[in-house]
Amino acid sequence: MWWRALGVAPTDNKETVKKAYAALIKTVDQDKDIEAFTNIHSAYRMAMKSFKKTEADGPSGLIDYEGQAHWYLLELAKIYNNPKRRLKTEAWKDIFACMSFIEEKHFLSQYVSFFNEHYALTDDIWTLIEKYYPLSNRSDFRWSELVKGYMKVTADEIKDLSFEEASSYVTYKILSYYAILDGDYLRSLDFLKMLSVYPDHKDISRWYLLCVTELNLKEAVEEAYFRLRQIDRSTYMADYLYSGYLMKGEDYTRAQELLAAIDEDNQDSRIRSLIDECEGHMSHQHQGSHINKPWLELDGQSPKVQKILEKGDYIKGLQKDQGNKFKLWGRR
Amino acid sequence: MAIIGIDLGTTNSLVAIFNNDLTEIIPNRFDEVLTPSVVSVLDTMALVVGKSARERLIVAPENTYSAFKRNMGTAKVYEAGMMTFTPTELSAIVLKNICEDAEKYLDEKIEKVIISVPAYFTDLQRKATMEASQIAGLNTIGLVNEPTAAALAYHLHESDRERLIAVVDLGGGTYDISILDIYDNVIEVKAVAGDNYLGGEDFDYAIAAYICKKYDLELEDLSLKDVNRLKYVSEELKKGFDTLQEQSYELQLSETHLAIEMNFEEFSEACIPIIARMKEPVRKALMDAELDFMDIEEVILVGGSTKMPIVKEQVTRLFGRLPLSYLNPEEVVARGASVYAALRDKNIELSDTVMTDVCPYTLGTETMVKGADGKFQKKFDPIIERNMTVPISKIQQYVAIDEEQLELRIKIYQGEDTNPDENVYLGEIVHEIQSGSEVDSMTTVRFTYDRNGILEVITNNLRNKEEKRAIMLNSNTLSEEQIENCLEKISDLKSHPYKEEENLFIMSKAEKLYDLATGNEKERIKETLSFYRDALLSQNNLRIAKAKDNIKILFIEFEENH
Repeated sequence: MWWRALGVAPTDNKETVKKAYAALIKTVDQDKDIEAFTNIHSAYRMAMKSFKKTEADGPSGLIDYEGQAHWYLLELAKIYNNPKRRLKTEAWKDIFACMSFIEEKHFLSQYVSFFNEHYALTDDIWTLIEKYYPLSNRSDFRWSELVKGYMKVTADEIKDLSFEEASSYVTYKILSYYAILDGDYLRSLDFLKMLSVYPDHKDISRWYLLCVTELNLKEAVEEAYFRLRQIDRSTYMADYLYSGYLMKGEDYTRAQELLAAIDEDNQDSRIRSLIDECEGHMSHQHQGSHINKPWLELDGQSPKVQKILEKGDYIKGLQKDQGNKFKLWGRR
Repeated sequence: MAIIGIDLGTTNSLVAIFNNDLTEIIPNRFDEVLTPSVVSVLDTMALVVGKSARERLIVAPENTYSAFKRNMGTAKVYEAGMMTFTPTELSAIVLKNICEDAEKYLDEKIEKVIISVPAYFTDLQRKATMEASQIAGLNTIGLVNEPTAAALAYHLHESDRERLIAVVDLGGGTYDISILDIYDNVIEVKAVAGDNYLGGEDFDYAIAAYICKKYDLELEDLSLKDVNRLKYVSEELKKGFDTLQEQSYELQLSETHLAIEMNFEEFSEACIPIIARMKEPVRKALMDAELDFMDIEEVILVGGSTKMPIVKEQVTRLFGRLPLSYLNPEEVVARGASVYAALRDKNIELSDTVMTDVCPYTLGTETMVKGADGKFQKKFDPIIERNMTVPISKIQQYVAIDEEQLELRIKIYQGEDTNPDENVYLGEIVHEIQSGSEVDSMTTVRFTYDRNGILEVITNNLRNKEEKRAIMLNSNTLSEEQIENCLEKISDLKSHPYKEEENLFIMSKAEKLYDLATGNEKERIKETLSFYRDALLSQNNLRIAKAKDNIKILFIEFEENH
């Protein structure tokens, strides 16, 4: 037992143990008797571990930084509002690294609300924030989809934009995504329209096609489909979304053709089952019944998606696909 | 017979001795305590070390080497005309030079030496340092971690107080943080962390890069000479901002003329990314020591770069406490190293003091672990974890993974990654076994790590009672022959004659200033320099003294103007 090795009573306090260790360790030759040294030192370690951390008896000599902790949030807000710095990873990295430990303590009690308010940030900055101050496991954080990477605005998307443009681009993109998650396609469409002045991006075009499909805006769907096919390198996504629209209009023949023409590599179980479904309808002239139609592929672990599932008003079911991906099935 | 401590720094090196309860820094041949860690090869193939060599960084950049401590333990080779040097050899040249000066000053032979190294130096870097001291012909009885040495020096001043301290050591090229507990004359290192590539040099480089960006230059495209000019100016600016808010500097590069203007804000902007790198190691060290920053009762500043107000301010902010620096941060490591030397030599005056240190990196073996998919995967199995108190001895058992297996290969690594390939490979021991069954293959592996950083591995196969041992780290791996070769190579290069060294320094400095000067200034330097040369040739002592005075006045004026 450690107290025997140190020659103290188990009831002794920290100071006595330290004194006993200090006296004992001076009798050992560290160069020659490693065994003895290791024994004494590990007994000392055990002893120190057995003392519960005493209440802080008021650290002495600390400079009062209480007021400055709040100052730190102001500094962060300054970066957020500085056109040159908000979207620069280095700016955030530097300020995180320069924060004193006491400021950090105060910051940690307020940072969630700070980032709830200041969210128009790119993917690389969220990754950085998550590394220093985890937000993904905080239930009071509004934008957890962003830190978990379910939805991304990459630095590449905004690299040619001015600060004002970039900041509205990031804001609208995030808000349009969250509107879709809320099932408010009309609102999402508003944001997506604001984004139409910027260079095409596949995410935005995909969401646009999804929204107009859901809202059953026929002409817009056609246009959105051809547009998406042009800009999205993985054209099968366009075909996939569009076939959902066709099936909605019970045009199974065209939907089947479209899906069957998709590259073998991209013919995953999801697409194959759609083809089966189309063929089923075509052969059995199965009309008028409720059809399952996939409308959006989202990450099933996302709490937002789970929420939608719970609502259940326009969702019929959920099927597990490969990995963590789920597909949602909408009701006609 | 003297026992000394040496601080072999990135920028400067120092020698100190412990006598009658006091430490003393031993001055060099110029009666200065700091010897720049710079080596230069003259056209005559003679070697010159220290401040004369430093002056040649700009006029003879191809044959002058600085900051080689940063490349210790790497395969980097420095070329000088027909010759090449390793960082180890250059360090040996510096060591030899400062020890010669010390022997002259003390008027006795140096018997034993302790050299300080950054706490976060890897074992390869430590090994290279030991080798350098061997080539320099020194009897090095051990290495000491720089922050630990600093704590020892402070302890000497205030030995009766119990306290938990953090030593922040920012030198010319390395950054270290150590947490120490001091009580009852026990100095216990609780944890170390750091960054081996963070120091004053990085500030100079960051300022140079900032200037390049501001004036549309590509640092990478500049000639070596221009880079050294720019670095020199950056260093001057860095020093200037200790007191000034705004500075300007006229600099003539080979193709462009720069009128550099810089204010304190721009200087801070250039420095922030460097300063920002100081925090994470502190957090890591506190975590390993299982302490909160509030537990720290004293913060000590060590290393030349902590003299910078901007660094001091950051440390103050970080800990929320004013740091101590009443012992000169540039000298404190050398002083502490001399105390440690005396301690290791069981000096009577220190007989009551004990110091324990930790190992900076985790040591372990490569093992195969069955994953969820049933396949075997390589995994690093730590035996001695980082920041454990040394000396330490630990044992682990291993068995074969395959019944058919006929040998057991124990590969030893150092590092923090779970994948052994990402860590530093140190060596291996192979056991032949009768079969891969558990009974036949069961082998124990004992790691013993002593306080000089030497790892001894003893393996024992329990079935056939076969015992093998190997010494992994810091063991003197240079053979007699290799040392002989290095010695020969270095002694071929005669040192520059002692008597002429002052003249060499004056000439080199004047040439450097001439290079950096513009317009009328250039003319004046040229005149004064040729007057000095003529005086030297005349061998008239009176004339030489007069010329020397003239040139010294010129130096002072030049420095005041910039």
